[in-house]
Amino acid sequence: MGLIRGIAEAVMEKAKVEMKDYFIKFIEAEKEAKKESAAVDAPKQDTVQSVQKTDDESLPEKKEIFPLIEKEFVKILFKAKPELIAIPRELADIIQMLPIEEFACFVKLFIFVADQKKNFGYLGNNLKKKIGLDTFSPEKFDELIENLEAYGLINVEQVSDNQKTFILYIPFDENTMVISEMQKQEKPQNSQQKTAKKKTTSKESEKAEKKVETENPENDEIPGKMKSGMEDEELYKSYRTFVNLEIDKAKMRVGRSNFDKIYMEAVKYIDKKYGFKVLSDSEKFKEHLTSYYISAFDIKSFEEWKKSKG
Amino acid sequence: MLDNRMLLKSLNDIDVKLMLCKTNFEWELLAKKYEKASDEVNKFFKGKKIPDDIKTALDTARASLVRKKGELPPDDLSNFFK
Repeated sequence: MGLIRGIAEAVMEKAKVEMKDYFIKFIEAEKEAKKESAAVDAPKQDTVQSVQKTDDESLPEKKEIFPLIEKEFVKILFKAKPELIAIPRELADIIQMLPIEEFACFVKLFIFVADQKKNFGYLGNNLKKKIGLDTFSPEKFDELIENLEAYGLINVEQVSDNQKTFILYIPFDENTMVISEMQKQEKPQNSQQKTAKKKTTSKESEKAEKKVETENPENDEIPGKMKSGMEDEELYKSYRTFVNLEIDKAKMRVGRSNFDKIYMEAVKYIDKKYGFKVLSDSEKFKEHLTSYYISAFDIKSFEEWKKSKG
Repeated sequence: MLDNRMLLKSLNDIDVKLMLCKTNFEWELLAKKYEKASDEVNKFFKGKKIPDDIKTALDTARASLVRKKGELPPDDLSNFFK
């Protein structure tokens, strides 16, 4: 009996030791597993945090900008290229409130418009280069223009998928400036058209669109729409020839590829403005296309041409 | 009675044929086809809401036609001025 009890106690003792070893190993294994999983999770959390951070960074805080002025944008032509580029007091008082980058951008644009003798034009990379901001990324430049727009100093209009135009605010001085012909034509329009006028720009296609909008269907400035019994029928025929030549010249000037793009814009515009049926009506389509070209290529209107002829 | 399936097929045909269209003359034939379909739809639904699938098909065909017209060689205006 003593022997059996001894054996049993020995087995129990051995089992206790083995159980103890097993528990110790199990706890250690658990600890190691925890450490490993923590090590794997750590970079993941970093990534998540960094993604969140970049997300936060990629959403720049849009500061609210209140307009400094709320004036109507008018297309202005300078009578002559100014020798002295002077900032009128009224404008100086406004732009000195601008942040430095917007201020610089506005002044550069101001010099540019004085140089090109009109306060409107295309907006894009070319302009960015012309005003010496080519080191700015397109996004940065767009942001500056957006801010200037919010300050009420520039009017930007998206005239097609990849074309934008601008009108820069400059105080009108009747001694040195005139309102562009197109703007004058738009003035007698009704209030709805006046609202639309605010958004006018100088881009070729845009100009064309606006000008066509203001034209009366019976307007004798449309070369294809000569009124019967016109007093100066012969003169009008000469004008049609002049327009034809000017369109050919413009085609040469802008190049085939650009001309095709302008044609594409014209087709889209005519469809939008006059309806699809006009596109398949050859005569009407040509009339509207000619009007579009007249505006797009700054071809003189009949009256202007007549005056210039003396 | 307007057969929706025929109409949609006809509009789809315009899209397909436009891919092969090379001249203004061919374009005009397709434009006429579109106009006919469009008139039929407008006449049939007269003031009622045009079903979305038909409206989408009409819009798509019109957009394709306008795009194609813009891609074709520009109309020669020289005769127009004579």
